[in-house]
Amino acid sequence: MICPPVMVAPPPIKFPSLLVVEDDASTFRSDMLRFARLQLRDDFLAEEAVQESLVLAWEKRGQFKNRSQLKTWVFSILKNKIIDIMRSRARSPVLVIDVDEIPESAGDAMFDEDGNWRDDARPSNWGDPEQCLSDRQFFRVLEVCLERLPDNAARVFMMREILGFEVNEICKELSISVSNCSVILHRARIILRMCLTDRWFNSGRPHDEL
Amino acid sequence: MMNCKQACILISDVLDNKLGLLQRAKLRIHLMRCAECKAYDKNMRILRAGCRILIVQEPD
Repeated sequence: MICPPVMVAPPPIKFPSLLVVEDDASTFRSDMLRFARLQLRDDFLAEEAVQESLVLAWEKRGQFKNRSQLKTWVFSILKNKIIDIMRSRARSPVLVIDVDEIPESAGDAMFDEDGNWRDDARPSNWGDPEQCLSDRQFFRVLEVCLERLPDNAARVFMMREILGFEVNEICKELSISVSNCSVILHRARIILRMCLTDRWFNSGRPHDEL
Repeated sequence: MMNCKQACILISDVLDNKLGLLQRAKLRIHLMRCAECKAYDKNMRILRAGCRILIVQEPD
């Protein structure tokens, strides 16, 4: 008989964890609030989600080896809270998702009558993805651009791209058709790309030519 | 022949896993020939990657 290798877990690193969590929680707090507000677009609900996440984090404060692990975890709690809130809100009958919140014309302006790119709308090559994503300014501008999206388009886009829902789940949660969902996502992406191009890529950042 | 406006709709559909093999192949052919749509596609992928890691960005 072959014995399986014995796995020895490394001993957990002990922090004076009360202090660590307290310190970090207050530094994360403003980030968390910003993130929750961005997605929920409601200050009261955002505050509540952050508060509840921090309470949960406090209860499990002993489990973390380092700050970045803690941050990832606290944000994953927050993400789940936001998903819960979005789900319960989606079920309320007042929410009507209008597919034309971003009009079709937003994208049409990029193309000529044959459906080819207009000269002034040709996409620029943003360059190396890794380089883009190591640029803090990219994320600052991305947040601004997300804030500027109309509310429902933002909700659908963020459910897809930040909270990681599949399209059919979004449709179910928000009671919209798959084709409407796709149209909303497509238009939101067009707007975000234009916004990032204007405010980040074209704003003096060194870049490659297409 | 697919035009750029149609290609951009398909680029979005690919991101949502909505495209069949045939349409994927047609899009790929368009992207091989069209630098603008290729740049658009790349921008979309950067946008997606950016959203995925937005929340774990360190504060300033």
